[in-house]
Amino acid sequence: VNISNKTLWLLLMLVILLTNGMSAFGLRVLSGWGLPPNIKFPYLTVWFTAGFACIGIPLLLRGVKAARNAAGWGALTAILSIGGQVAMANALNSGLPGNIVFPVTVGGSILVVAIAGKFFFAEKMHPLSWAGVAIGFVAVILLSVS
Amino acid sequence: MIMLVRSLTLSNRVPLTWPVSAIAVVFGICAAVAYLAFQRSIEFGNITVGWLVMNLSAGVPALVSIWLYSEKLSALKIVAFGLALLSLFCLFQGNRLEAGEKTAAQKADS
Repeated sequence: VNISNKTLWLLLMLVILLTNGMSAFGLRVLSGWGLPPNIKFPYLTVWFTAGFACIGIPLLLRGVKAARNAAGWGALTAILSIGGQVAMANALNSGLPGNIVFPVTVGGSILVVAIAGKFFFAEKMHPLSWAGVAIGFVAVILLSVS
Repeated sequence: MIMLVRSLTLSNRVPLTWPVSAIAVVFGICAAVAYLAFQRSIEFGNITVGWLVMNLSAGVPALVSIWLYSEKLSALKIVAFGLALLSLFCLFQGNRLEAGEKTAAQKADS
């Protein structure tokens, strides 16, 4: 089946919207079952292992070897991700309200990526797409505070 | 690894049951698929749009929670969902127009 890049992009956006959103829903299910809060640690261990296996096993079976460059970027991303989570937890523990911490965290990451896209990758977007980014930025911030 | 160490060092360990493991596997695979789709999309699409859609996806579990668990739908959430839909419409239409402009430019060149 010959799928154009435009159609594939649309499909990928829909996949991202559904799978990334629903990936966090398990924690809500656990909460609905009334399980103790500590269940999240073994739950997340299995969650990360399943995700790792989903990507790692096909790579292993195809005999793909990670280039040093790719492994380095992966490790850096993981460290930055953990750093972000720890910083967010520390901010909340220090007494900063969630309605400040979450919008800054989520909004900040979108802004940084938008700036990187514009200046590092020289991405060109239609004005309507930029309007979508601006409206989406506000929507994400409202979602994080509501 | 961090989660495994944290789980093993808990003072009051909670046993991992089969239903909990099953939903962890299902939603863990969801996360992996999302990241793979994101990586694939930025090969030919804008990283800004891909990352924004990753963040807008937070609205999906919020909507499902409202439907499944009868959670309260506040005015702020309604506005947020409305803006998210408007944003997706602009992003998809913007992408369509960009593709149209590229095709027109290629035709003009040839």
